[in-house]
Amino acid sequence: MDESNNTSRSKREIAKLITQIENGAELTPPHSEATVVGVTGAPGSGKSTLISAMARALVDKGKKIGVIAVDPSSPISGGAVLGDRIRLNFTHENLFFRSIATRGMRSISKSAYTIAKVLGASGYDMIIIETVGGGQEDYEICAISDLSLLVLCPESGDSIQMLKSGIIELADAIVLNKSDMEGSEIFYTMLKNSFPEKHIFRTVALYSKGVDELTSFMLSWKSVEDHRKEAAIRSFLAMMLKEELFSGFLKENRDVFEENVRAVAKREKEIYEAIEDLMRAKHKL
Amino acid sequence: MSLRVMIAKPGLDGHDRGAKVLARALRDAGMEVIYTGIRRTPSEIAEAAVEEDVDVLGLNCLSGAHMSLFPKVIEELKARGADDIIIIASGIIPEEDSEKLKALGIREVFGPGSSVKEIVDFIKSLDKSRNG
Repeated sequence: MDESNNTSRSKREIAKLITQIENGAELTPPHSEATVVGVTGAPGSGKSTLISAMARALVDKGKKIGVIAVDPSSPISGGAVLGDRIRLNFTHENLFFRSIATRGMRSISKSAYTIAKVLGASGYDMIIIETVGGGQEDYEICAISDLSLLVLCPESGDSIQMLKSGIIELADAIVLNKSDMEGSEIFYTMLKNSFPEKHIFRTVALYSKGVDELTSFMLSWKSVEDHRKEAAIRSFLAMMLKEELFSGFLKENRDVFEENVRAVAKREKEIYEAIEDLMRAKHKL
Repeated sequence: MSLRVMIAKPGLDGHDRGAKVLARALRDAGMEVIYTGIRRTPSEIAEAAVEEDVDVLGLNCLSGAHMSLFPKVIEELKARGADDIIIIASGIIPEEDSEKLKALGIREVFGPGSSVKEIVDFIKSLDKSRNG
């Protein structure tokens, strides 16, 4: 496929193109100048509601906004309930919202990056990627976004949690959502003290409180290339590479892999024995 | 390739336990299910179905307003060049209305007494015919 920049694409055409990408079509991500904003945080922290409010504010500021909302695929059936759209309380010609499933990947789907580029090349000014509800280790999103937002809510932990490693180190800014909840003031002060160098915003996404300030910040943001970015990219590349190597392995050894899964589940084998057997299968390639 | 299905609730009907049960059953059958949530307008539903590029759109209405709302969704999809999306419907829909809705292009109507399994099996059969 040779689709490159095309700002006259209809929503229908863009949607069809995204489906092809999702189904594995080989497509070189087109060039795009659009700002990519990654939004991550624990399940229930209010990412989807916040994104709905941000999208409304940004569209009202005259921007064309793309949203890619990722939810997990079932490890049992392969199906998924993609529920982020429920929080979106409007549709607009300048808003393109697409729900995608992880399809075997972790916090973000393999195709999210390419889809963001396609939306950018189709004339959208800012692309917001919502990750699966994540935890401390889900920071791959920082590698593919120009600006990464970590959404927290009061009771996300004490000052010891703030000392821990992972996403909280890598995120460019923290959004304290549900900031009308009891205990929010104390939590905000603690965040400020723990991260004096970080941008910290307070929002109540449900009522669009604090969202105007946050979206103005997003629009004026200039991407920073520093050691944090490098760490995120290292992690993302490693994740993609593991995925590629594993799919290659599965292509040749799916039966052996499934046999080992069943054997461990039936307690006929220890997990480490299964790993050794699978490594042996790999070397026979 | 996962089948993508949207479950949508047009109009002023806040009862969505059935829609959620169905969404979960379709997930367990290996499909990717997008649920719009309650109280959507026909134009919001059509716009969402286009952006999500769904194979099947399931409309559910328990309020009795299906004869005014469902045809509007069909019109809105046509206006967006998306009338190839297969529409199925469920809810408190009498037999005589079912026939009228089918004549308008709704592929199948599941009225009171329909089982979750029937609906899941029907959508699966659509997938088979789609993949030839």
